[in-house]
Amino acid sequence: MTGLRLAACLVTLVALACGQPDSPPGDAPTPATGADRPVVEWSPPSAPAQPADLVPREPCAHNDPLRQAFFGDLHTHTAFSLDALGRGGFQTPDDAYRFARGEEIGLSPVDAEGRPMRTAQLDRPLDFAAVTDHSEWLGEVAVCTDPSSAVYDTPVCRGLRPGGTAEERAAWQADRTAGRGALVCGEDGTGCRDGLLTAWEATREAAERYYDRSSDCSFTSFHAWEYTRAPGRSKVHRNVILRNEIGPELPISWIDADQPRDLWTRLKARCNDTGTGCEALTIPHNPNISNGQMFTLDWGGLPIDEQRARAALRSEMEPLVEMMQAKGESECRRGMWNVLGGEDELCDFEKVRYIDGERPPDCEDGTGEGGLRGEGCQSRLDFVRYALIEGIAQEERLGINPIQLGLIASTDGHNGLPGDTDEYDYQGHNSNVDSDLEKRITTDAYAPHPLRNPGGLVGVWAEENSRDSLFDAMQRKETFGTSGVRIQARLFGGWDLPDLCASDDMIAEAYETGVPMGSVLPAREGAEAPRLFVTALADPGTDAYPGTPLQRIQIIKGWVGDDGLFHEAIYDVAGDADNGADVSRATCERSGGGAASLCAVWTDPDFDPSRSAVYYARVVENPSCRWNALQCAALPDEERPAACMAPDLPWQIQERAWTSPIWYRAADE
Amino acid sequence: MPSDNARDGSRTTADPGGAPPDRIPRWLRDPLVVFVLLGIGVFALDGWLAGSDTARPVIEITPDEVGRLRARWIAQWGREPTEPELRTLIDQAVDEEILYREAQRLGLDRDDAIVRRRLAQKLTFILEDAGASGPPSGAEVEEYYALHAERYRRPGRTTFDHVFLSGDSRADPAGDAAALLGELPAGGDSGDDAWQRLGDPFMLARDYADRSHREIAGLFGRAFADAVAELPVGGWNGPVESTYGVHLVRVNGRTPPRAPALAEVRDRVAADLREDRRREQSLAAYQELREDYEVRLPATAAGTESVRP
Repeated sequence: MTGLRLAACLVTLVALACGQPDSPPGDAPTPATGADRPVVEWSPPSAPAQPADLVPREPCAHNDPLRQAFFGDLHTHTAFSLDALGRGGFQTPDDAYRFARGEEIGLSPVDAEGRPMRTAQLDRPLDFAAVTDHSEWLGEVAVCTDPSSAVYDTPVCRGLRPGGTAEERAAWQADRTAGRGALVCGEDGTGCRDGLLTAWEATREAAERYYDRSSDCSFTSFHAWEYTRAPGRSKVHRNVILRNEIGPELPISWIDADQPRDLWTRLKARCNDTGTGCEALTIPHNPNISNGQMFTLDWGGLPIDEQRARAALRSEMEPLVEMMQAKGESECRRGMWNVLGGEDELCDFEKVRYIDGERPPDCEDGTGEGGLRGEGCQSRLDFVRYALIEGIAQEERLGINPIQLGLIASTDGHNGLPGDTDEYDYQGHNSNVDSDLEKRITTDAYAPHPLRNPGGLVGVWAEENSRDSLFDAMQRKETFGTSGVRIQARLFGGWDLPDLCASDDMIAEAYETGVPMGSVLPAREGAEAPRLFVTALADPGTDAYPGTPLQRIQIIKGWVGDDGLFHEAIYDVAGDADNGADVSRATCERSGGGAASLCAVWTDPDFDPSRSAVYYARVVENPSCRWNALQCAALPDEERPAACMAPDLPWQIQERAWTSPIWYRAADE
Repeated sequence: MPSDNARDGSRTTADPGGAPPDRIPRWLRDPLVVFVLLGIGVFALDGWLAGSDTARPVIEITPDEVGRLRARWIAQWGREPTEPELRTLIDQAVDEEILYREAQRLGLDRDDAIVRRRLAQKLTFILEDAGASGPPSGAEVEEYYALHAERYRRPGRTTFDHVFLSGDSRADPAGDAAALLGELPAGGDSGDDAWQRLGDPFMLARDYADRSHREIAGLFGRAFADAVAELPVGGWNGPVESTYGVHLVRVNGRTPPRAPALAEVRDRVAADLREDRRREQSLAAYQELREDYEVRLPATAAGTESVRP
């Protein structure tokens, strides 16, 4: 019932949110300064998870021991998030789950009567989703959007809500900069603690309402939130995903857990180690705007045992990383410091820094600040490929790989539209800020909107569409990410894989003879070099936008050389980069060859048993139009915004999927 | 009751030593409403006094009002106001009241979108509160379910086997499929598994049980799902085209769409009912108000019947 009240508050706030384009544009709730902020634990601190019986569920009618691909989105915000509210959002977690299941929901702006002037609906519903509202100020938003609260009509709350005056906004900024604002929360913080509980319960109730516990298993929701730490405006954000409905009393934010390791130790103490059935994992996102801070391990000076303990903690709690989302792709970038290897032109894909081709300075082995504003240096560790190699380097030193990450992608949309990744009808992610095409191709807020994209999807290979089955798959990293399309991709590794591409029973045989993606190869027995089996199916697409054929599959290999430098190698293993396929900028019509499915069994031709290595597959489609080109092409000449023809605007993309890696560990020799 | 937590929490800071809050309706505890009501009262008095020409309008700050000002201060600053601060607060309240009355006299409230919406929002809450009720009874849930059965309907499901011929590697997959069809047993003899070794290697399964149209379309594309929906049960048929090539398909069974027993979906139905009811009651109360008005719309504004999303 608490959820209904909060939801109602947000619906009625629509009217106030309307027509306030001058509301603060900042993208995530961001502190004014970095590490010098006060850390304030709630009083009393969040209670740990309590033992409880899980709500009973039926076994799924479809359980495939060879596993099926389920598509979902593990990163979505609603107007419970401060920044989403500020941009005119009004969607609730219920709205987000309804949308994910295929229902139509309303979008801003709203008319004079408060009716949404746009709607959105998925062509293909998702199999699963998690609403991940920012845990920072979640309670403050709840308190300040509830007209029955005593502080609703105070300047500081008016400043939190859209429509406040500059003075009121300053009052709110001052209040929150002091940590947990006394004006909103009261001196002891009780008001906001209660507000947080209300919002968190509403979020959990929504997740419970839409989880299909029948044997249909048509939809799975996850209890989740986003931990939004941003020291010096560099992103070290993480989503926290819970296995089931058993969770700690309150979500944890950076205000009460300053460092990611504080988050992990609290998650262990209040969830994973409680023996209650509670289990959490974390997924970092946007290393691309972290100025090296996401994956730089600043433990150098500590005793080695302490370093090992920290590496183990990280490795235990953080199995996955978001490879791509609305604010850019984080796979790789050419020419980074001390990275050697062939030219990988496909790295030039959905980069949010920079539109004019000027690259940011390289952090080299340091870190910088300001990524959230498109500022500061860029580190090789801002890209997942090189972070994976750093993990190998650390493993050689510590015996534990702290960055052994499986790959996913999601949207990070801020208007309650999980999985809304179709380029042709992308309606923006930020409510009033990018509500029409002209705004989307011109709005120059940080991570400029023309460079943003509709976001990606996460694919999970699981036996069935239930929380346990999906969560197990995330833990073992049998996942893949896509740039928004529904390519299905699988990768297996082994030493003696047969010619699986010719097998009548390729997947069963692959499990028998190899290990699935996300795994470390077993110790080598006789064979010269590891073999990888990779296969992928093109996205069938929809009537409105049929899928694009596949161009090729590549294996990406990373390792640390004898020179101590990072090495990368890219191998085309299936398909044809020169298949003649093309796309027209004027009409967006796609032409030429390509494949509906691709398959390869590949042996590493340059294998060095003395060097640990990481391998993952990249499945690439033929060229197609980017969202801006599609939407510009769909308009009659006289209605087309002039910015449609901006020469710097990328217009062509090759959609893709990334499989989780497979690791070879030289220490096992 | 909703938001008890938030309310209790704010009460502890907002109402130290105030009147028992539960007796006062929530909306009356809101300072803006109090001001509006106060304003309306004073305005009426003002109009009545204006009849006697010479009398000046009266602004009276009562001890209760001072109590409220003090409580608001405490809510914001977490301590008692000092004497000079309290005097300033009272002065500000008098100033605000004068300005408010003059603004209202000039009709400024009617032109200000924020004020209008805020008041409208306030009333919406009052209406919703008036309509709030306890959890629905079993009979009510049953009735709601019967009324909205379509929403909870389970889709029809198909169980099928298929033989895949790759569109990527064959020059004429449809021709090859037609030829292959002759080699397959005509009847529904599912005991013979020779078919499992026919066709081309494929990443997906060869047999699927109880799949909905949506699931089949997700795997093989919409055209394939549509075609399979039309196939007879039993025997091999085809060729059927998919995103990946052509298929020979044997449908082994179909389950028609069905309405689940209420017990299977009771929680979801009850939650939907509560949400619907809250919206309906708010809307009904609004409609009642609306009937007191004659609404005239420009000819172009078609279909503006509904009030709120």
